[in-house]
Amino acid sequence: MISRMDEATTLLVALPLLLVLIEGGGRVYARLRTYLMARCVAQISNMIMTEEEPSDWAMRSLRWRYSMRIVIDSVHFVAEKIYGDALYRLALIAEVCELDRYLLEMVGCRQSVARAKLYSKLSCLPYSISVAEFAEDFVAECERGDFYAMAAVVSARPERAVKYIGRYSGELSLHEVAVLVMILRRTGTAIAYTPLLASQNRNLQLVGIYLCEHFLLADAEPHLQRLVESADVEVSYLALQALCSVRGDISTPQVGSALSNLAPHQRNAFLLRAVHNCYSLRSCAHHLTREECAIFSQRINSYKSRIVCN
Amino acid sequence: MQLIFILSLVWLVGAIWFVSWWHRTYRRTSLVHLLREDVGHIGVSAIVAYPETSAPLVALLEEEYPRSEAIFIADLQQQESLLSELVVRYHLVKVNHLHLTGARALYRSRRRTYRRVVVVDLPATHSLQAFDVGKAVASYDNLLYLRGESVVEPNALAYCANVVASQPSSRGLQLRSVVGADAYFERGDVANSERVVRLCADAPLAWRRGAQIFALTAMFLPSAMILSGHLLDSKIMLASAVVLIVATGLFLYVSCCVVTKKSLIARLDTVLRNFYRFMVERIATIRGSRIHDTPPCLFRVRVRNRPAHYREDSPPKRSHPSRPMP
Amino acid sequence: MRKIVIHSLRAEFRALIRGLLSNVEAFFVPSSSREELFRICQTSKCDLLLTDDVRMFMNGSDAINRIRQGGSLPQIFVLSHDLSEESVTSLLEEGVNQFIALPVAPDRLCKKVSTQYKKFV
Repeated sequence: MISRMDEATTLLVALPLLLVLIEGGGRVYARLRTYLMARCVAQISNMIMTEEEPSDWAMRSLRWRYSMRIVIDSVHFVAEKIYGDALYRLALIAEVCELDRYLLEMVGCRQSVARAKLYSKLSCLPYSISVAEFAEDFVAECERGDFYAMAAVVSARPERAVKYIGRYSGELSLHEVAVLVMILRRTGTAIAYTPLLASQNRNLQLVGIYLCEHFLLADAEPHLQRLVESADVEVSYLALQALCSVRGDISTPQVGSALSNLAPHQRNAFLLRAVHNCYSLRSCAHHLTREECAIFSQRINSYKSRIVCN
Repeated sequence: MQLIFILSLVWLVGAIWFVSWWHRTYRRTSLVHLLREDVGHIGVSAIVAYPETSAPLVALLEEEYPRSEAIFIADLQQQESLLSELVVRYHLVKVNHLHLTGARALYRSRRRTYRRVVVVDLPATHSLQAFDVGKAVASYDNLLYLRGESVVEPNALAYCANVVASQPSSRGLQLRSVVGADAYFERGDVANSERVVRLCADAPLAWRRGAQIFALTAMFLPSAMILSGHLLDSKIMLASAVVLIVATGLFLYVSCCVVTKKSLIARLDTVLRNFYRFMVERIATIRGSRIHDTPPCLFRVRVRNRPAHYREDSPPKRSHPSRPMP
Repeated sequence: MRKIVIHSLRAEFRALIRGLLSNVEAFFVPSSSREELFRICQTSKCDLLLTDDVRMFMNGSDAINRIRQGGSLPQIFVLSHDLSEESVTSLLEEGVNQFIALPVAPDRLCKKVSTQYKKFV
């Protein structure tokens, strides 16, 4: 009885202690990782800034000193913060350290979410030549609807981005479009938005709409007015939002018919965006119900201060 | 004793199921790449109701996500020092508030730097309408509700915006924090939506991840105690476990009636409440009934455009033989 | 010798900026927290502050005045990914001297740091 009580008490005390120890160990690891990553970033940035190209030995020494994950995350961190000629030096470091080759090997060993995360890391590396060589292998995965594989390929071959996005079989979400545009901006790829908006492909239309909204391209208004009438509700809704952002004309019948097809919360979101973009009530009153007009004017008035004269 | 043993088994199985669901959903939402810049011009309005200090507001203003605002609702007549602090700090000025039912005043900032700050003076007697008032003031359609002294984790709003952008815009959306005192996020008119996607959110909504350890301990401990007490024939352990379960249940009931909560106990309560909700909805699904008109896959979110070989049971595919570097 | 304070809550960012400015002749002081930054500016004279902590200037903590007290009037350069007009205007209104958009070309950053800080305080 007494031994059982001792065992029971030990179990009672050990379990939470174990959990606390695990939590404490996790925090120590996180701090150590931050310290190591800072050191790795410092070495990488020193290599970038030297006048002469660093030796292969110096670049490979990163792999010996730090774990692969830390080197990959450090290269990604630096790639996000710099551009220009220094990016080529960084790509050279990534190539000599065989980061993309390592990730490609790991991709074959993983599945599901882990695989998607590896592809995501691959898409963040600068100018992966190895990935460019394997690009056509990935395209088959893109056609099966693997977004992160497609992002990796677009990062490796940004000049063919439109082709890959057009061949992608799945439906891109707004977040995925934002990731693709971020990759294209990082690689400095120039893309004309007019062919994207004029395309019949839904994904290319979304990319075009996102570009118009992100860079506030007022010239794209005629295309946006046309896309507002699209049969795809998502495309129509995003075109409407983009039209609002570029301060286009929202009194047109196309906008009215698009609004009538939206869900109530989407109409509300459009109202709020119109107020935020300083539209007057008159610009869209004929598309709105009386309640919506009241909400619109109340929102506008809530930005104003009441002057009381005695 | 047999009944207690069975109940403890059910508790333990349910806890393991809950944690595995949480982990699975966390893994899927963790695929959402955290973009700290504007994502499709999605804006997030964070509504803080009746905090005691300005700490939640400061935490919201620390957010790097540019398209966000912080709506601070409090009974400022009873907290005059807080009002004067806010007015001086953020250069507030009174604006029109007549459309807000029950509100005494509405303040915005004169300075462009603090354009994201909105302060509403709402009497404590109208506390139940706080979120409706916040909704009436909000500039964006995506709303994060916080009660009391809930302080958001860094990049919480960016995380919410990114998750919103990964879902179709036609659906209502609700993000629930597994650990967090009264923090939840919704897009659109969730109550009247035909289809609602409910996602489990990780710690980024509120509180620190470390608090989850204590909460999980509270879930596992009674069941572990009961099992071990039964196996080791220890009556003291069994009695302690029963007392712990009863105390937790009582506290849960009491805390539901309390508006403001404190730190660790609040977190524990929220995890247990989510756990109970999870168990009830699972049981209701097994029996064939639905709760709140939600589809059976309440807590499951299919990874978008997931190809066939992403299923857990399929073998890994080796399609990239390594080639020598040039 | 000119004194440059590099302030960031992230150790990687401090390391990166320090590495990119390795060719600049200056005395670099890292700062990992806001209180540390205010203490550094209060106790000694700094010529230039490089930071990515944008929210420090936009959360009502009156950071600009605390940085510029004690006779220290450093030039403040802020680095950030956020390119929105409102953020830039807000920061310039608060008293930030220059806004550097990320990503940045290292040679241009070096040139900016070497030449710009000498201007009027």
